Amino acid sequence: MLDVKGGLKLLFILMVGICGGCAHYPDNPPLSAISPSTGYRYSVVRQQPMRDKPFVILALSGGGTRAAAFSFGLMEELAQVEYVTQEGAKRRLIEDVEIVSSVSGGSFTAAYYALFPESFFNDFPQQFLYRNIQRELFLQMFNPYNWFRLASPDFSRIDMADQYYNKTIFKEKTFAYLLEKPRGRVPFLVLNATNISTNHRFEFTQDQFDLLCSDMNGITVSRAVAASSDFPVAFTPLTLNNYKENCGALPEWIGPALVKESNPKRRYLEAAAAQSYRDRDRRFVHLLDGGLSDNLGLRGPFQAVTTTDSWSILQWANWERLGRLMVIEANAKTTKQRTWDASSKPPGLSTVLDVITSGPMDDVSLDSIESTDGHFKQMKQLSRTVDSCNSHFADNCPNVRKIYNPITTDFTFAELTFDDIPDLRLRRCLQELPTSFSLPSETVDLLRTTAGYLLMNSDEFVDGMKRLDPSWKPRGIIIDEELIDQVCGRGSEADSGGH
Amino acid sequence: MEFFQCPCPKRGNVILDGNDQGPNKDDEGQLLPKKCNAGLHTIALRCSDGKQCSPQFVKVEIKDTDPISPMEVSFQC
Repeated sequence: MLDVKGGLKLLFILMVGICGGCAHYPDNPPLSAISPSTGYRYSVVRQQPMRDKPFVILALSGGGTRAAAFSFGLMEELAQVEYVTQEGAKRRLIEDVEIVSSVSGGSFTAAYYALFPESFFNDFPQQFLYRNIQRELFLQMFNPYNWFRLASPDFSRIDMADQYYNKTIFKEKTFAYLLEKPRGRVPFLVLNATNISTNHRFEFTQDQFDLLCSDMNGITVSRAVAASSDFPVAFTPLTLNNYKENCGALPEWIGPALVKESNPKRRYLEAAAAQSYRDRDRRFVHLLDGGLSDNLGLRGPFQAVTTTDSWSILQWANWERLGRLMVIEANAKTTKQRTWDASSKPPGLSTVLDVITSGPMDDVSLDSIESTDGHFKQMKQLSRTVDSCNSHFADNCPNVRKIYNPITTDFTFAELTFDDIPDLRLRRCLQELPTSFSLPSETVDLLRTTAGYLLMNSDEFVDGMKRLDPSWKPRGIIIDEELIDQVCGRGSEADSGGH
Repeated sequence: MEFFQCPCPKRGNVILDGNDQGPNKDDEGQLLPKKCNAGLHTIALRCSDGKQCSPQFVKVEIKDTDPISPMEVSFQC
């Protein structure tokens, strides 16, 4: 016979069990009809670009708290970059940020800025950067209520992490909240995850959710950040419902792009991946960390700049509203020094796993950097060719009509990476940092300062700023030696160079 | 990057795969080449005075162009 105490205990366990069994991930709501003028889209969130204003895109890479702090440092520095407009007024460059595209760790910074721009610089460090998120997530596992919830097939570790981010960091805000902000007030946020069925980038924009016939307004920002930072193995894939019926036809570019023989391979594959959301058997979408398809957050902007498919920036270049395009990449990638070649003994399992997860990712990232840089260089070269042609005509055939130059955009692409730190000790130290959701506060401080230092010492950024405002000068930033000592340890003199 | 332009006796807006890419020519009648990615596209011209342009749309593969010699996709309004 059970006594009263024992009975209550059993009842409690039963109740928790029943509740846990019912646990379900938050459903993304269905969409009744696609409307290009509503929902979380670039054209709804932002005003039409103005030719005389720089169009700034920030791409924030993955890399846990390391990436979040590095991107935060970039934004802190951008808030201090002031230039003189053609009308003679002073303006901060951060006000010209049109799009923030991010992955994984960088998504925490990007999302917090978009949600709370007024308090971002004061609150985000305490809310995220200096917090031991890893520990707090781990402690969630010891809550008996979560044991029961995790027993449900429709609730997993990533849903638990999502709930934690939602309550403690993102204050339960949804994408509808972002749409309530006055148009043009905050940048368009593009949080990137990876669809593991198609192995394609999956972005949290309404253009993407149109394919699922789902309404992003009811989705919490934390859910998008959780998907973007859903590191494989540590977390389970995040599930979305795919409704796919009756909300409207696929976007018009997809039809022509599906004609295989008339399209470049990548365009065809993008179209095939987009169309596959309407496949009969695809009732759900499973997502993992955005880093698996693009760890820089650069692919989305690159596609928008180079194509007229989906949401497009190239469209604004055709409207001649894109006078100056500036893309700044905060790349918090690490480069570990490997010592195993000094011995015949092969590296262990954890080292091999590290190589498997980071090696291909770094290679894809390098391709993305080179593609963007190469595209900008190619556009400049094409523009110069037209100008040279016209100047040749003017000198030798004055009666020939001038060729119209359709490239009227000034391009700047600046990548901030630890690889460009001249101080060997600091460079190696940051390149060896771990990827986790917890870093000592001194390390966070060092990453913040280093981002500002790299921006002010980026030749591409400085040149772009000088073309924008010839009187602009970069701020001199000295990284505190004591801070470097605290984080990296005291090095020999041979280790350091000037910074 | 590929380049195309839409000659037409009248002025109109170039519609590429359903998206407005701006006017086909400037106020002086100078054709304004448009930029797009390589591949098959659907192009239409929306006449400024509301008239229907002909053909209604053109499906064309745009490739191997340059800014000096953009592909021509002609319309009549």
